[in-house]
Amino acid sequence: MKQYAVLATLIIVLGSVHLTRAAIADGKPLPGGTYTIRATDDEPKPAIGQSQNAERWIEFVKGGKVVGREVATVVSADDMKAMAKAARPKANASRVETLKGGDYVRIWINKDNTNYLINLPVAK
Amino acid sequence: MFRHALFATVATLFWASSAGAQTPASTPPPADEATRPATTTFLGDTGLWFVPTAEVLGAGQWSVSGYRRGTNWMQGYTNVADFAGTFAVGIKDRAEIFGSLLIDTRIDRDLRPTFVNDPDVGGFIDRYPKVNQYWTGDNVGDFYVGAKVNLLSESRHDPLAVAVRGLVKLPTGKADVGVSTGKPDFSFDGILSKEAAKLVEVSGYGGYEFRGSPDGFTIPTGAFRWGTGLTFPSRKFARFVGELNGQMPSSATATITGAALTGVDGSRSPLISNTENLTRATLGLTLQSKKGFFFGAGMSWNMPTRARVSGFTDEPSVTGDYYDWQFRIGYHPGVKAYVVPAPPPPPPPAAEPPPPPVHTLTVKAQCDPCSVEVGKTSTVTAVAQDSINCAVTYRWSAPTGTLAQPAERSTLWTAPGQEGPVPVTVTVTCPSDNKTASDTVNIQVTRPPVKTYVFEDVYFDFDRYSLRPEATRVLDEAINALKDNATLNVTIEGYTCNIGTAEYNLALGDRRAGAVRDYLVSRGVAVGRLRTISYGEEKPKYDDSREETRRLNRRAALVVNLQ
Repeated sequence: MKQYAVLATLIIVLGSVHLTRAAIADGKPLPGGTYTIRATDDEPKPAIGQSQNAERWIEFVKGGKVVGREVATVVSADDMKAMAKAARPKANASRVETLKGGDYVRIWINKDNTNYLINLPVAK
Repeated sequence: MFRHALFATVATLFWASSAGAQTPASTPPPADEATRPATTTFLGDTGLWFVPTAEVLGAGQWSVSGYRRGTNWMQGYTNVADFAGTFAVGIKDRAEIFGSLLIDTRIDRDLRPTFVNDPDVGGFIDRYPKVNQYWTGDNVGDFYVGAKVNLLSESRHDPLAVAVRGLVKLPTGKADVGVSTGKPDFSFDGILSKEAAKLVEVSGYGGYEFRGSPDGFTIPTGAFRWGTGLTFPSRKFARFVGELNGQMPSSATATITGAALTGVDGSRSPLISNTENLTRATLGLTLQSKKGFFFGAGMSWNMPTRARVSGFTDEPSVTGDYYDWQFRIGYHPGVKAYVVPAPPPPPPPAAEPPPPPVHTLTVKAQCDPCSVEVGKTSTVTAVAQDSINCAVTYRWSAPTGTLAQPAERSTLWTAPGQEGPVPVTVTVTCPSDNKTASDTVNIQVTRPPVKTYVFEDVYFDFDRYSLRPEATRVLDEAINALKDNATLNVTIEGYTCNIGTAEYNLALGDRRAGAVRDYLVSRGVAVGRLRTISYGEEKPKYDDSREETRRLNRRAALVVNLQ
């Protein structure tokens, strides 16, 4: 009998966001709409000089299905203080904003004081 | 007359010796000149005609000849004709035994009457005292036999020939007819001769004759004998002979001590007759073949000539018997001539001296290294090998580059700024003979390899410019390279992703570059070697549309600038 290894993946639901505009996630179109965003424990290998755990793949889930994915920048609350000039979302809240004159959509989720920044180019 | 003859003899011999001395002794004669022509004398020994020479026949050689001699005497106006047969044999190249038999002696006395009372011409001849008739007819005469010993010989390279001669006259002639005294005579002579320049042979002799006294007469007990002559050309087929010879009796008179001497005509000889210092001049020509056979004819006359008193003679000519003919024929093998000895064979070549050491000088130029970068040095060294261990001097030369000590065996050579091969030549010289040797080594001058410095980028977290330990390890490699190469300068480029405004990103990139610069400076790199520039979000190296790649644009890059 064929046996399969089962990888246990830690999935953390970060919250639900609504995109008013279609965007590009990991190079693929992501239609506007409401998505449940969940973080995986999969992170890209950091380049030399970059911190561990500073990036993590997140998934866009809609209707119980993952419809898109992207790498989110993970910033602790302390680091965020030194970095962000704008007000950050409240704990366990999120915010969607546009950047660079509407070229980007940023999804900023504060999950238990850990900030997930997801920058998506706006679909043209 | 004798004094003149003696002087002539000595002078001639002196001249001949001088001329002979001028003969180049080093000129070897032809092979056929091992002997030279010679003839006999009337007495049989080797000589000119009547005058002997001091040379003798070779050992075992012999000669033979026949003579007709005519002699005129004033006493009785007498002519004596002798026909002689001679012989001689050589002994050990040093002597010869010879003899002459007067086969026929006939005397013609022209005085009329036979004797007159005049001691000069009317008496008897001491040599033929008993002649008392006009014509004796043919009679066997005396027999002369003698020996001649050669003391010096030109054949032995003596300057002249010297010999002594002893002679005995055996009275074989009929004394009662008057062709002999009937008594033996003994004579001794010394002889000198010389052939000059292979042209003239000169000879002279002198001696004394001891005469036996015939019965009934008192005659001179002896006589001094002399003679000189020459023959010319001495080695030719035809040769002229000239002679003077004579005798000087020991007494001017001869006396009849016994019975009176009465002529056939009844005339009586005076008791005392004058003797004569007979001097005879002879000129002759001899022809001689190469084999030694000769024939000669000549004429003799007495010196001085004295005219006959015509009243005492029946000869129509007053001078007719003052001259007489001489003839001879014979064989003489010649005498030895000096032969320049063959040069001794050259000595065997001496062992050749060892050749002077061949001086071989070589040199080998060496370089270490033989390929240098521009401006770098190479050690050039000469290795000389010299067969005579000469203390050589060195001289380095090169068209380009710089030699530190060109007169040393080994020196540093600094490469020029141009690439390419450079011949570096060393010349070694041996001062003792200036022998030189050279060698050249080519040193390749190269540009230093362009070292490519590639430093890894260092990455930053989002919106951060602080360096993490992993980044500093990368930068430490750059620091080492900068320390190793002082010519190395670095431009530090700061980059960002495109999140945020361009101005912000430009500033962020500048801070990232500055962070790197500050770290390098903190590790000892001169700030002057570092330059920073921020490109911000410009010139993204990776795709900014996806975060997976966008994050790699948050970086600082070190770009090497080589001077």
